[in-house]
Amino acid sequence: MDKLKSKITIILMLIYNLSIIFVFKYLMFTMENVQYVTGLDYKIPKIVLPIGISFFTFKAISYVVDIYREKAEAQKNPLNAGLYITFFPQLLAGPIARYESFADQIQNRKVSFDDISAGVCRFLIGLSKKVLLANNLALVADKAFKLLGTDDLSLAMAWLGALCYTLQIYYDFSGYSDMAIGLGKMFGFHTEENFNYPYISKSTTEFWRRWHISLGSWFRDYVYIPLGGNRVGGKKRLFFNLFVVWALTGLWHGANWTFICWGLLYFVSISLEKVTGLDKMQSHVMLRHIYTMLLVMFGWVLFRAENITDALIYLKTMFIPGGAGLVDADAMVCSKEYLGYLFFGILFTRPFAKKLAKTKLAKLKLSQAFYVITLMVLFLACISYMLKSAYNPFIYFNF
Amino acid sequence: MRIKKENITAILFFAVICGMFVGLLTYKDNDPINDFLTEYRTEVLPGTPILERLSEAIDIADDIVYDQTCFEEQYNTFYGLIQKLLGKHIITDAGYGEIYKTKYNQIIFKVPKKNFRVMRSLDAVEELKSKLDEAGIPFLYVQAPFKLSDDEQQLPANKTDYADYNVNLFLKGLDERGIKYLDLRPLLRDGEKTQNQLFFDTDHHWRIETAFEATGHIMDELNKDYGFTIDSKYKDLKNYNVETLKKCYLGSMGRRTGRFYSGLDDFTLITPKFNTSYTLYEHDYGAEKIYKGSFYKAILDKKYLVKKAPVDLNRYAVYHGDNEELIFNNNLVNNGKVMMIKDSFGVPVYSFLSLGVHEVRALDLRLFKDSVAKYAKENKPDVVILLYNGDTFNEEMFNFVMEP
Repeated sequence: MDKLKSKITIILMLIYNLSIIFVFKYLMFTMENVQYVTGLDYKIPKIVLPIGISFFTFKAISYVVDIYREKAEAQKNPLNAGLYITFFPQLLAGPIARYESFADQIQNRKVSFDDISAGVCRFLIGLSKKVLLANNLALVADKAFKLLGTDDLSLAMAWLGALCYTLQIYYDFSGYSDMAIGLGKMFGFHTEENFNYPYISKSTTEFWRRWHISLGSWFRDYVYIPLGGNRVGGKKRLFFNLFVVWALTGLWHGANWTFICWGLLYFVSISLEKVTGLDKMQSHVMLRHIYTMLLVMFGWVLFRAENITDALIYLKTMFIPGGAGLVDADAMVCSKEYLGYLFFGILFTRPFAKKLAKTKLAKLKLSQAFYVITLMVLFLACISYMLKSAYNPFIYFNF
Repeated sequence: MRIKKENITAILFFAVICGMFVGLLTYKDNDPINDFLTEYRTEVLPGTPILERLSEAIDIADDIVYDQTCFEEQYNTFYGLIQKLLGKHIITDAGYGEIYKTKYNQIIFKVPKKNFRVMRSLDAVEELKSKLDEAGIPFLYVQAPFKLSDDEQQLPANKTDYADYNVNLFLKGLDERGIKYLDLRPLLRDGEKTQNQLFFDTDHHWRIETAFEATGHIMDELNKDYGFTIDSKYKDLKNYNVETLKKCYLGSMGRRTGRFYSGLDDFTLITPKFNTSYTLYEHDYGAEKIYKGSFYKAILDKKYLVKKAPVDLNRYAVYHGDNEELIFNNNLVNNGKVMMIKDSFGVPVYSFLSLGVHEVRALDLRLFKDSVAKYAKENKPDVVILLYNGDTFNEEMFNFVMEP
């Protein structure tokens, strides 16, 4: 196929895939905004969002682009191409496997007992993150955001809610990613890592190197680099490229201004870090970590709120106490009741288990027995939690 | 090949999964496949689109797996143990939303505000009363207490129970409508026992001793205002055998949180020392069972008396309970006919009350779906008692199905 034909195919493919995602995910949002701006009166259709639509389309785009770039060979068996696009462990919450890294595994994957075992362990870790930590921390986060606008949200409860949501979204999404990676491994598929302890980051640039790695690298490889990436003539163009990537990153998460503003928040902070070199500074590590985590937390408030007004009210309550004052009974009870989950939630954002696994201690038979017992206890605890509590929010269904 | 820790974990993981699957198919009364087919045929109407059918089928299968999970009690116990270790006083629960540990270490759920339901219930009671008035049958509403009172904050600081609030609203409405009631709350709370001692630690129900005391107050009320002549010996505990089984009972709340979290209750059995002779008719779904003999023989359900029975056995039901219609005929007492519409708090009460009157008819509106007024007119009781606890303001329990 000559270059021109290939380019036309790529363009048609992009129009097709992006049209699908646009219709299902962004058409209502666009029509609402056009209606708001123009004042035109028309009926906005209610379109149900198919689960995993973004992951479907991103993988479809990745397949065609990787073939075009000759990073992988075209798949002659449509079932194999379908397997890549609809690979169920990754369908709902990622990671977004790129075709070039998946192609060989479709043909030549090998299932071994060691892989199955490693997959089971990874799955159990993910399940525990989701069921034991994310679901329980979600109860506090939901309570805090439910109180928004009722004048019953105290300053302490607002901070507690923001902290719990910060932990919830990490354990929810990284838990799903672990489960997806684990399930993939059980079937002989090796998928890239998606999270690498993002909450130890010392800059927002580093945060995005550690958070949702597959999404970040997808945008880098399929949007940022084709736009010219860092290697552009002037700063203006660089910032434009960054702006496009972060606006799209925000928009990818949902058709709402909160997501777009959330994406742009990272555009601003990452651009500032690039200008000032803050992300590469070796001094004031703790200060940089605190600043990063505060920005990330404020970002999650924006991400979680129904609209920009709600987000601003919530953020305001985090600094200026309203009718419920500084600390109220909700904050006291929630902090006491969820102390255990908060403790483990914060503890496991640090890679201490990873470090421990590298020590001599981990090679002792007793440690190995402890590992097996811990995972099985966690598994049984997950079952008991699932049987007991109906609360199982799936916060990533939008994506 | 050297076995790694991951290999052992995987073997155990698959063993648990397989064990649960086999258990699902074979455990006790489980029949998941048959239940699935029955449920599917009931829920999914012919002509339903294929995707909807699939979605419904998954939901039904999901529910059945949840309901019929084997070792559920053990999982509950483990769950409760984790909550205890985490020092939690609020437990998320699929059935109740939340279960609380009170300041007295008792387990309970909380009742929400039910202004609208209370008003609807008042209307229903007023209509029932007017139907009974037409037939010349007196009516008495008896208010049983709920485990939590608004006298003190027993729940975590940010949780409020509205059982007493709803009851106060309801009783005020009865006052305004001129309907007589007996409020057991102050009578029972004025005794030697504190509020929490009146109830099981692991159940929302009152203890058998409390139900016995409540029956005495009802007997007094019937004697005072309804022309009954119930002998006072029936409310004197000295005339009864009182046997307490120590730490043998896990109530309905405890069964949801496990014994490590909730602890265990003592269970007291109260039976008459004096001679008794009964004929008890039990009606459910059109079928009738007849029990004859003494109070012990005819009324008590013996399977709840086994001392070494599992702690999750619902001993509270020992006094015969949760039937559509029960008719107690006391062959040694000649007069007094009571018709009682009741919730689960009525279970020990009607049995004790039947000792002092000739006949007690007990209806449970969750199962009895005919007209209550018609039933009363046919059977002509000396009084119709409506006995509910402070959590029972819901449509089903006040649906008296009046005839035109």
